[in-house]
Amino acid sequence: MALFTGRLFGPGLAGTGEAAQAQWQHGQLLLQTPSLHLEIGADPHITGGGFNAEQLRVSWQALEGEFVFFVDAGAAQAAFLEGLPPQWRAQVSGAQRTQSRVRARWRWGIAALVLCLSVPLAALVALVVRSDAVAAWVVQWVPPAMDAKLGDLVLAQTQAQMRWVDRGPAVDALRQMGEKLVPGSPYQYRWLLVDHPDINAFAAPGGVVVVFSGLLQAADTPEEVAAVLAHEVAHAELRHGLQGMVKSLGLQAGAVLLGDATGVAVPGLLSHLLERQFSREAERAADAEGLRRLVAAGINPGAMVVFMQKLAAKEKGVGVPQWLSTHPAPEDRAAWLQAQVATQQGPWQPLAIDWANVKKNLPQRP
Amino acid sequence: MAMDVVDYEIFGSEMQYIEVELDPGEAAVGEAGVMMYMQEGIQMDTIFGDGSAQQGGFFGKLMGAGKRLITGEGLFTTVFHNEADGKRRVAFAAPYPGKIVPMDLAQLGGTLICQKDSFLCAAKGVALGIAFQKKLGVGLFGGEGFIMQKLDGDGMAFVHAGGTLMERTLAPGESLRVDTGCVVAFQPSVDFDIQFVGKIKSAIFGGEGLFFATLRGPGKIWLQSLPLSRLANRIILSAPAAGGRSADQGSLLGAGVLGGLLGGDSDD
Repeated sequence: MALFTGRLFGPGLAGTGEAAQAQWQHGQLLLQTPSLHLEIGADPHITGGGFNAEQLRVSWQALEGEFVFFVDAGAAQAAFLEGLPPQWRAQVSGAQRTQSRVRARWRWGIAALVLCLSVPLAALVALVVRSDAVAAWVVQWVPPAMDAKLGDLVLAQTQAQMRWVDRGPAVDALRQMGEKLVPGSPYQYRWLLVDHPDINAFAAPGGVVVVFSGLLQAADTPEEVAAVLAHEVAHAELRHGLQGMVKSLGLQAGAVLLGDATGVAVPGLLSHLLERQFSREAERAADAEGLRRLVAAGINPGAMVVFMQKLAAKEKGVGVPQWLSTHPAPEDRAAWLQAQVATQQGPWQPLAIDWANVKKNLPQRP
Repeated sequence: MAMDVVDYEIFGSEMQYIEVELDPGEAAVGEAGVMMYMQEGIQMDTIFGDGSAQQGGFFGKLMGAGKRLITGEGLFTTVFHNEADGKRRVAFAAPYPGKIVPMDLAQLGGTLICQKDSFLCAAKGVALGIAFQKKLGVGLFGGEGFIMQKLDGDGMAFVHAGGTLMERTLAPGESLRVDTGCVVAFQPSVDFDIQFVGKIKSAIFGGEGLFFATLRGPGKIWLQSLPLSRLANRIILSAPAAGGRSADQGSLLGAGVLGGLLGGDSDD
């Protein structure tokens, strides 16, 4: 019979075990080390043993104590199994079952670990990719009173930081146009005129609409201003500001979860609110909703296109207003609006506002 | 394959270094960053993987390097090759207080399982592999002891044990329960299992960690009295710059004036 190798541990042998040669002979296992020659006992115990139960462990009780023989992997194991007497086969297959169970449990464990690690990651990725939809869903559950509170905050900050105009024909005109656009709104609208040369306007949650005087200067008809107001009202009504906050809050929470806690929560959120970083989808939605509101109020929506074209022309010039950069290209918006407006039928009621008087009474700049 | 036979000498008592003597043409591999000095004529070369012949081909090397990354070591090891005509020496220093343990792999049966960051240096040809603790139970979350390192070959290898070294030979069936961090190395014939402490109370208040390892013979085991993680933990705890408190640990009141007085260990 073929010789095969393994390592023998037991009384009288080195504690670290000794390399041994083994051989089957008439159903008996003969073992030989440099110092010892012995025959395996009558009743051996065969199990999977050692690190990770990777090895075949044959142990038996002798007079001196317990001996353990580890069969080397590979060819030695094959030789061991070949000469194995039938009465020990059951034990060996039991050992092999133990070994495969350890391997299977290991694979399942690793799979579970990978799953545990990848699920939050996948959720985060999904949240980032579908952040608009998720934010919209979350915002559904926020009561409108919350919007008003946020609006108050923005209002207070605007009043503290900017020179605002509280009376005059321009303020009256804004209020008059604005109220036409918000019939049946859950919010108490506040129309604010700020003395600033930029062509800009923004809406905070809860019905705070801020218009820069530069925008009024740039408009040739009150309808153009009404078009801008309609767009901003649409932002407030569609709760885009809140959605943006929820989104950035969610992203910051995600960032914190990922171990990057550099984002400073509340001031960051507020500045986000002020910077008006709506997504392009939100801008497109606000254009559509603004258009609907203009039509419902009987105001000629063509002014929206006119003003957008004005912005487009302005952007081609030197000074690009900063707020435009977060918006879609005005040319694209104008083209899209034009197509929409073409489907609308009049008749339109002209706004009863003395526009020349409004512009004359705006704060003058050198 | 033929292993390079190295002669060595260990210096120091608690913070040791080892000097390895290389015959002409012989080489040793060291963990990146443990070399202390080397004599003229020794060529230092950084290689991808461990430089053993078991890593054949590019893919094998890549696998080996990836495994090293999992065990928390660098992708590269450094090979010190004696290109001179005579014997030359290169020294490797232990990274923290403890003992350097010489392991004669040939005498141990060719394979040794050791804690993942304990490897210091070896004769070139010793393969550094990774050995996962696959008997899961809760071992997957046991931290230390889950990922082990496997040294294969028949040359000398040197591992480092923190604090005081304990060597013990376990008879067949004899078992010893050990803190998972205190295991330095054991023969592959030893059954190594990680177990949950079992009692929530002792897990939370015992401060011994949630898991311990059971080592069952036959075979030789090496234990360290001071795992690096334990040492680092204590240092962080008492380092003010790292958010710890500067008072000695007996003081309940922290680093305040009162704490300093009551602690009775003021250093001014």
